[in-house]
Amino acid sequence: MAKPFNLPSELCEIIFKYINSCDLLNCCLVSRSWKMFIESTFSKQLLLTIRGDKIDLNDVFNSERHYQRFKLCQLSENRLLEILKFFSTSIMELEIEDCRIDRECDMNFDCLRELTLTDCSTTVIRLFTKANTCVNLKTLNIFQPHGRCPFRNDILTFFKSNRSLEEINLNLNESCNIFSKDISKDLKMNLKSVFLSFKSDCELQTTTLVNIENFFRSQGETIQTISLINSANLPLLHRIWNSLKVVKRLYFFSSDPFFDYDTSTLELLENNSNLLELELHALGPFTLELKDLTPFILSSNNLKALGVWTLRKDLIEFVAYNHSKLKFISCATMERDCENYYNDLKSKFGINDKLHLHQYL
Amino acid sequence: MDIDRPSDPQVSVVSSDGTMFHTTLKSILLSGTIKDMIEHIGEGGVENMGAIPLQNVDSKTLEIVIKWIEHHKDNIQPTSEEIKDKTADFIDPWDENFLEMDLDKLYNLITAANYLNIPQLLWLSTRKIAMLIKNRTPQEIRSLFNIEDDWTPQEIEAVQKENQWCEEK
Repeated sequence: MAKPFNLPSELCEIIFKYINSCDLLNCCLVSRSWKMFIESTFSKQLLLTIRGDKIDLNDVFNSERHYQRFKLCQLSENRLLEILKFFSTSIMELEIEDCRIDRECDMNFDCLRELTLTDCSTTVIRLFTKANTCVNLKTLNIFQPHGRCPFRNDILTFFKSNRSLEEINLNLNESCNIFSKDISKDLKMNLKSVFLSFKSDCELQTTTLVNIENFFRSQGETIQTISLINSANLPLLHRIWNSLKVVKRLYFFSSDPFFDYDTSTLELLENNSNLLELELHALGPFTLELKDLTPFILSSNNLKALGVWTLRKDLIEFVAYNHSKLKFISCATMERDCENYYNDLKSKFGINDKLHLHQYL
Repeated sequence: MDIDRPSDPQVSVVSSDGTMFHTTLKSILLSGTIKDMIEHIGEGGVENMGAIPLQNVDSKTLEIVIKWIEHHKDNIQPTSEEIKDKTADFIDPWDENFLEMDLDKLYNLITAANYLNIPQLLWLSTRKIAMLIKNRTPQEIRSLFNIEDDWTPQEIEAVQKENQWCEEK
C-alpha cells in the first residue's frame, strides 16, 4: 500500500495518532492512498451517526471503513434492528437515542465495550440486558430523564451476568424503580465508577435511599469514583462513607437553590488519604467559605484536584502556599480578577508551579 | 551506570556515510539505543571504546540529532510511556525553532529518532508533521506534501458524502 509520507508505515501511524477525527476525515479527501491508509488504520476511531432515514443503509453496509463506533438516533424498528444485526460482531461503542421497538429480539454484541441508551423504550434496553448479550461491556450509560425507565429485573439480570462491567452512569427520573427494592442481595460486581443522577425536583423516598445505601455498601470495596447528582446526596454519603474505603474521586452537584454543604460533610471527608479528587458543587447562592475548607484541605494529604462552584482569591492563595500536592483547582465561576490574581501569584512567587486552574462554564 | 557523575567523557559516533562526530556521554545517553549498547560494555569501558557506528543515520541527519541531544543533555527526558499521555503540551521555543526544516530533513530526523530511540525527539518531530496537517484543506495538504490529486469528481463526492455521516456530533 502506498504510504502518505516518505516514512515506514509505523511512523506514518504515529503522525496520524496526533490528528483528531475531524482532520482525519479531511485527510481522507487528499488522495486515494491517504484514504486507504487512514481507513485501514484509523477508521475505528470515527463515529458513524445514523439519524432518521436520511442515509441509504446499503451505502453504509458497503463502506470500506471498518466502523466500530455508532450513534443511532430516531430510527424505525426495522432500520435499527437491521443496523444492529449487520454490525453486531464489530460494534465496540454504541449510543442509541430516542428509539423504540415492539419486537423482542436476540442478538449478541461480543465486542461491545461502551453502551449508551438515551430516551429509548424499555424494549430497546432489553436488547442488551438479557443474560450474556454483551459479555465484554465495561461502561453502561442509561439516560432516561423523560419517563421511560428500564425494568429493575432486566437491569438486575444484566448486572448479575456481566462481570466485566466497571462503570455505570445512570440518569433517571423519579419514577425509576431500579432502587425501589433492595437489589444488593447476591449481587457482586467489580464496579470502579458509579454515577447516579436524578431530576432536580425529585424527592427520593426513604426506602429508595436505604436501597441505594445498601447497594453502595455491598459494592463499595472496588468503587473508586462516585458522582451523585441531585440525589439528596449528603445524608446518603454520611451513611455510606465508612463502607467506601477505596474511593479516590468524589463529585457532588445539587441544583436545589436551598441546598447547603454543611461543615459536617467536610469533617467526614477529613483525614482520608485515599481521596485524590473532590468536587462540591451547588447552584444556589451558598458558597463554601475558606474557613470551612481549611481543615479538610490541610488534612487531605494526597488530594490532587479540588472543585468548587465559585472560586475565590483566598482559596487560591491558601492552596498555593499550603498544599504542595494539589495540582488542579476547578470551578464553574470565578470571583472577579481571580485569574489575574492566580497568574500574578505564579509569576511573582513561582509558588506551586504545577497548580492549574480550570473554569468549565 | 552513574549518569550524573561530574565528568562527561567524550564519545564519538560515525554516520552511515563515514563521517565522525564527537559529542559527550551525557548527550549520547539520551538515545535509548546507544544507552543499551554502552550498558553492555559496562562501567569503565566508555573511555576505551572506539567510535560507535550508526549505519542507519547519514551525516546530515546525525549532525541535526547531535545538535538536539547536546541542547537537551541536562533535561529530564520523558519515557515513551509518559509521551503516550501527552496532548497539546507546551513546546520549548528552542525546539519550535529547531524543527523549522524542510520535509525531507524532517522525515530523516523522524527515522533517526525512532532508530536511536529518543522518545522526546520522535514525539516533537512527528507532532510537527501532524501540526502541518491540522486545520488545512485537502488542497493545501496536497500542495504542502506534493501529492497528486488522483480523484475523479464522482469518487471525491462519495467520500465527502460518507464523511458527513461521521461529522455529526
